[in-house]
Amino acid sequence: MEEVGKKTLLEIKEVTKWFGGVNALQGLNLQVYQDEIVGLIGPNGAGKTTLFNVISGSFRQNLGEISFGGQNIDKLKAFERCRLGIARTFQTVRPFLDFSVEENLIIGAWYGRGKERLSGRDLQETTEKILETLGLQAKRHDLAKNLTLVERKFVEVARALATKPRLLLLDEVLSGLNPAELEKAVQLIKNLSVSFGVTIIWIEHIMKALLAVCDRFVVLNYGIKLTEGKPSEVVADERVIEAYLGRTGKKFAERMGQLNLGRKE
Amino acid sequence: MKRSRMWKPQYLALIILLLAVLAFLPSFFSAYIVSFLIITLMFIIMSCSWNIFCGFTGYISLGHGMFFGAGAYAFTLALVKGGLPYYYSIALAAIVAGILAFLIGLFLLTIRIRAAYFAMITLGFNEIFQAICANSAALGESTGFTIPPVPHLHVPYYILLGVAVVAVGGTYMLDRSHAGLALKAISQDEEVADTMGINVARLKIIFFVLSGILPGIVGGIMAWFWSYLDPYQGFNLVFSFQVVIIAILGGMGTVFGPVIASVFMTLLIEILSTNLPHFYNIIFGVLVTIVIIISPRGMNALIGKIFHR
Amino acid sequence: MNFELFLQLVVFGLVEGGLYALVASGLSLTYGVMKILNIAHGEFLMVGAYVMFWLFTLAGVSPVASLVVAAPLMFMLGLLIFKLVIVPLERVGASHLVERSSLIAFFGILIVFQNAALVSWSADYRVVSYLQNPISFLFFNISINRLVVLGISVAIIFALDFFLRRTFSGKAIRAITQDREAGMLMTINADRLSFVCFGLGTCLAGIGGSLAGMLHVITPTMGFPFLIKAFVVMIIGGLGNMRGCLYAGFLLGVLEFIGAYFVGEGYRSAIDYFILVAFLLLVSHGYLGKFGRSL
Repeated sequence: MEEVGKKTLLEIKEVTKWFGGVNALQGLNLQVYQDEIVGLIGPNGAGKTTLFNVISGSFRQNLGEISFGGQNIDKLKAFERCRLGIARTFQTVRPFLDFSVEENLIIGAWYGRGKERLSGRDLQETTEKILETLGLQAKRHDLAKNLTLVERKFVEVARALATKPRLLLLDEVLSGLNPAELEKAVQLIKNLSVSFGVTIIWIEHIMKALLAVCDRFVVLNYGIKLTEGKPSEVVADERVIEAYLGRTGKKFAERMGQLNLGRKE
Repeated sequence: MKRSRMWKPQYLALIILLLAVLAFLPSFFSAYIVSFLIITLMFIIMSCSWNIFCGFTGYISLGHGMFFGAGAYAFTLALVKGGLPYYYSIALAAIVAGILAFLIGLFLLTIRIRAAYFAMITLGFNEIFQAICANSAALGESTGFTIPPVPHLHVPYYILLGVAVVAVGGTYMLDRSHAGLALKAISQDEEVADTMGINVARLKIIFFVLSGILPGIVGGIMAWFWSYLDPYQGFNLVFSFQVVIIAILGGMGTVFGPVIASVFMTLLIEILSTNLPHFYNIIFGVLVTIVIIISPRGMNALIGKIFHR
Repeated sequence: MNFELFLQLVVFGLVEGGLYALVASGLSLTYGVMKILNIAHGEFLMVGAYVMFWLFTLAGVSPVASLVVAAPLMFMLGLLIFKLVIVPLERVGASHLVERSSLIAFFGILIVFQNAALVSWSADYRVVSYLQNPISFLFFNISINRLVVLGISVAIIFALDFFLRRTFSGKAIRAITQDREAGMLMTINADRLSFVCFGLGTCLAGIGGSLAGMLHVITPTMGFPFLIKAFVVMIIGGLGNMRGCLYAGFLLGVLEFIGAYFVGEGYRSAIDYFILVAFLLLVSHGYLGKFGRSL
């Protein structure tokens, strides 16, 4: 699915990762292009977070190669990958709890940028910009542990942004938000790719949000890439629906007339 | 950079005044007081050093006395067997302790290790070194070494005072620096710190080494001060534990906490040790347990609550 | 060294090793279920030894019989400590923070116990002479008390092993050891299990102490070397694996005796740690794969 003129930022070749007896990822092939927003979907346990762990360097894959910006990063440790431009958030929301919002950002800005580390005026400006984008200025001195869940999620995103990433991996940032917060967050993420020039891979379960923002969907199931493509097409794909609902679920949904499956005219 | 809550000019002036007093003290006070201060300075340096690594990263080292002992033995061997003048011997003590810390750090801090295991294994190293010294003729066996006494009480006093200033000053600078922030990030969530660009392994090793060098120097000086060294004195387990207790009660990751706690501890030991030798330890044990239950995040969180961070 | 000497060392090593395994089983159970290392474990052993000593000296109760008193006493002491210290700490949430602060809390308890013993009972060596008459066994003599200790240690460990593998509660314990969350989802009350297992752990330490007192000198600082040995055995034997503890205990005991023969008695603890360090080195570099799970 290569579009002419688009540069490949991240390339995943035949990546396989197993834990003991479980194959979390099997022969995964994936390309992510510059400036796109990719929605990574699939039922629970499909290997999405494992993929993030392998990309960010928390785990090493057992087989296969990963390239970022044209160079192979398999030998790079997690902190080196961050400095290269890969940043992530965590499904379990892990900002540095005993730090203030500002301190969380400073860690990212000072350590996550490699040679381009910020200090003084630049640090101030960048921090300001990030806090403003995420609406956290008022809370900048508050300790992360005293913030609400939503605010903590935003702190994680802010911290990731502070590392000046080229690729941002968002892991289920929308879970637990109410409709109003959801709206705000979706707008935010849409803006991120523009205001910060990041390519985004986004794991999420809330389809509405993904459909509004993503350029492309990639579907994982049992560690294999099921399919990928335009969001509207992928969502209607029978195999995807079956993966989420199971065979009986799909039949049930059909019968209820909720889904108009692939009856292409 | 940030968090400059207490360092106003008044406090700075106070500290300089205190240092001036300490500098002139030996000329006016008795040998007993000077000796007492030497012991206090020893605890200050030891607990600040422990704090630099363990207090900031949260890795509890229960065998930190091994650096004290290593330095003591290096100093003693250089002075007594090697005939080197004392300043070279001290330098050697620092180097040996530093190398030891580096090797142990390389072994323990570059793998995923649980806090409990780190604690037990650092303890183990202390025991191993004690056993090696106690069973090796070249290292004096159980009888140890007698060391020519210090030329004058002032010498160890001023050296320790200088090292203490370095230790405390260093902790202060660390607390305000990015490295200090990074160490605290490591203590909160090491895996995340790694993904945020912090070279966790390197930082841990650097500060573990730094936290081992100063105890090495202190070990050498104290052996000289006591005119004597044997494995049980050099690698004393109770001493290692006291250092940990002081640092914890004083506040892990704080700057002046260990200093204040050291003074209290030494005073308390001095007052109680004649009457009730082991009683003070019971009090400390109880205090440590209570403190950590009340404020599991450490004393600095407690203090933070008190001062409305 | 000739074969007879070797055999004698092996047998003595097995006796001590069985004891180490017993003490380790308590630590292993507790650490496996709670993932918190009780570094004061050795102190419970020490208290158990003193209980046995005082019952023997003051009331003439035989060490084996005194187990009837020591065991429940140490069990309840453990429960008390759990309620006072662990429960408030678990409040914190973040598991590594709980691990770290409980480490410190147990450290405090270690200091308190040891020094309280020093204050109350002084550092004098206490000895219990019981069943010390030797009987001849193969080519050498071995005192009966050693055989008694070995017998009781092995019996208890096999009983524990049976309990863990055949009873429902035992299986629940093993489940929690492997995956606490999954176990809780299966409606296992992990907190109550932690509570009971902790008491069980200190109880086993106390029993170990009473037995140790039959073979060793009783002092307030005797607990510490046993903590070290229990730790090593626990790591090598595997968390919550009773038979593993037994074999690892035997291994450690034998290696200790043989090693001490060559390098000297003073190196005992050093040998323990050396074995641990070697083991860890091998595991962290990928060898002995399945043992690495407990790390």
